[in-house]
Amino acid sequence: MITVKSILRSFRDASSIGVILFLAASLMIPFTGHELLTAILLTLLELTVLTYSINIITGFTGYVSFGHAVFYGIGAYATAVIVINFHSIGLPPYIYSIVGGAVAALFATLIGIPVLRLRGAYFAIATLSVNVAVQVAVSNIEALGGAFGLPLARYISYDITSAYLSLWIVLCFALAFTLWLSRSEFGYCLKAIREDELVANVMGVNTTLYKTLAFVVSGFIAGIVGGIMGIIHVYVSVEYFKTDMAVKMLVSMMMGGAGTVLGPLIGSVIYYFVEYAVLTSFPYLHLLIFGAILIGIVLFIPGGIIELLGRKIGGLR
Amino acid sequence: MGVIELLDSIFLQTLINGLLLGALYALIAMGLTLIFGVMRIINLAHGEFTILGAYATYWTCVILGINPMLSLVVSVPLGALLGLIVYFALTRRIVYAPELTSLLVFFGLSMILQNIMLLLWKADIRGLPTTYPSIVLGGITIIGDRLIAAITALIVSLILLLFLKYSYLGRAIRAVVQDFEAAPLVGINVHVIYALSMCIGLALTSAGGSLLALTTPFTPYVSGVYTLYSFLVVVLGGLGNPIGSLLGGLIVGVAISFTATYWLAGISPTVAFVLLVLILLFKPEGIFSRRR
Repeated sequence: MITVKSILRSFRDASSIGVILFLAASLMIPFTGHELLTAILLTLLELTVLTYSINIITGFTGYVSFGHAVFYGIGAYATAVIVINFHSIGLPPYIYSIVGGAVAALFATLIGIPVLRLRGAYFAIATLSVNVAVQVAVSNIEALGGAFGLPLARYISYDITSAYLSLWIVLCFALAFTLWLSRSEFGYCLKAIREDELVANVMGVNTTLYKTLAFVVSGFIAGIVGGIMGIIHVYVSVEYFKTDMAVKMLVSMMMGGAGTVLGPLIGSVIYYFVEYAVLTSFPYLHLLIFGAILIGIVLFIPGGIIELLGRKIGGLR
Repeated sequence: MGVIELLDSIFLQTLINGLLLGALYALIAMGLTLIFGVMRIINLAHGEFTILGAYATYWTCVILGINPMLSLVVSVPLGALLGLIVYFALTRRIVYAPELTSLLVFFGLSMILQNIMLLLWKADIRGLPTTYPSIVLGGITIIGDRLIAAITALIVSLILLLFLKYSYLGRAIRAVVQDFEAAPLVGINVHVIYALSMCIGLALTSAGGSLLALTTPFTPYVSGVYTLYSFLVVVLGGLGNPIGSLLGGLIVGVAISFTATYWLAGISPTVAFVLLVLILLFKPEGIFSRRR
């Protein structure tokens, strides 16, 4: 558990101060009243939280979830359905995104129990297939608006400050959970599964339980983010299931450092600004540049930027 | 014509379309399964290589005005050359890396290839005019181009299977598939086999792309669909088992064709993926293999 002592101890690392500064600075943004800046940083926060989400199952546990966008999409759709049916209660709409997260977590449980039996490349293909299958299924379900999606403008209004703050809270949760993972028995069990699942099992780790839990928490976080983004866009559509999303998360995670506490934060911030720069300067070459960056990172700094820095400073993990 | 006869002719038509489509899918998937079997690497850029083969045929036909089948002379060596380049530039470094590494490297490669194709040839839909006349047999139309493509695909697949079964190199490839640690002990240079399988794999993929260009219009954006259909074919047949993927291809073709005729064309990818997940769960070694 996160105790006061563990939080105090974590203060000693320079890295934690960086995290606290980032959280504090990002909390300030909506209160500056600068809507464009808030909107830009909102998408950065979105990517950061999603990267933390995939880091739990892929970074810590070693299962490459190539179809992670499925949780994001399910969260968005579940939240939208709740908003449409229960908007008359009058709760702040962002509360509903928790339901979106819960539905995504339920889906992660149902899918995780069978799919997590597969290892390596098979798992990656299976998650990718689940994602595409759900996407096509949703686009053919009339009740969910089919390929057109569900517009929500009749029920809720656009409010970026609350969206930003909700996302910020989810980020804090994801960060705290990751910090706890890095220091708890649960986290060590996940890392043991990543290193060698058979050995972990023999050593008495209930591998099925632990990896399923990791998958569920990961799906829960991605689902909440999907719900929040659905509300802020006042519209959900099958675009939410795009597989590029999972790739974005994986690349940010690899850039920063998979299975670390700070990696997803550093990775997503760098990814975000690189993407922004590349998209604005070379709109016709962005895929090519991204592909090259991706290959370069994976081949030459597989431990991510955190490892590069760690070699110099030490104790950054 | 009675209702039953009408149903029967639709049924037969769907079946034949599916089988013709399936033979082509089998060839397209064969490169993927060969590369996976030998190196345990999933080529996520598989669809892009297929579409590159399709473009090779398209441009050869448009510029030289020759029969599309002759363009195989261009597309197959092109695929082989690409295979060697990809092997020495990328694959060589990641053969023994964890799967996340190879998945992401090949995903990066697919982005690069897609961008290059878009830059060079735009997102326009390309397609070749009909080359071979269709045959009408008792109410059933057999599209000539598809028939020729399917027959060629079957011949190429058979050549590959015979090569794997009887030639020395083919047997060496199968030895590496079975056990890449034991293969060097009997004097096989694993790295030569890796390079060779990448080379043959992409040459086959390119050939599949050429035949695809003969039958179906394409754009750089459709590549993802072919990557995913190829996954389904190889998973059905057992990853790394080329004979299985021949049968897998036929099954996938028929399944897609029947879904499109009797249900909804748009839903066939979902049917394909549900099938894929089910097979991965219950028979991950492929539906034709017996448990050892």
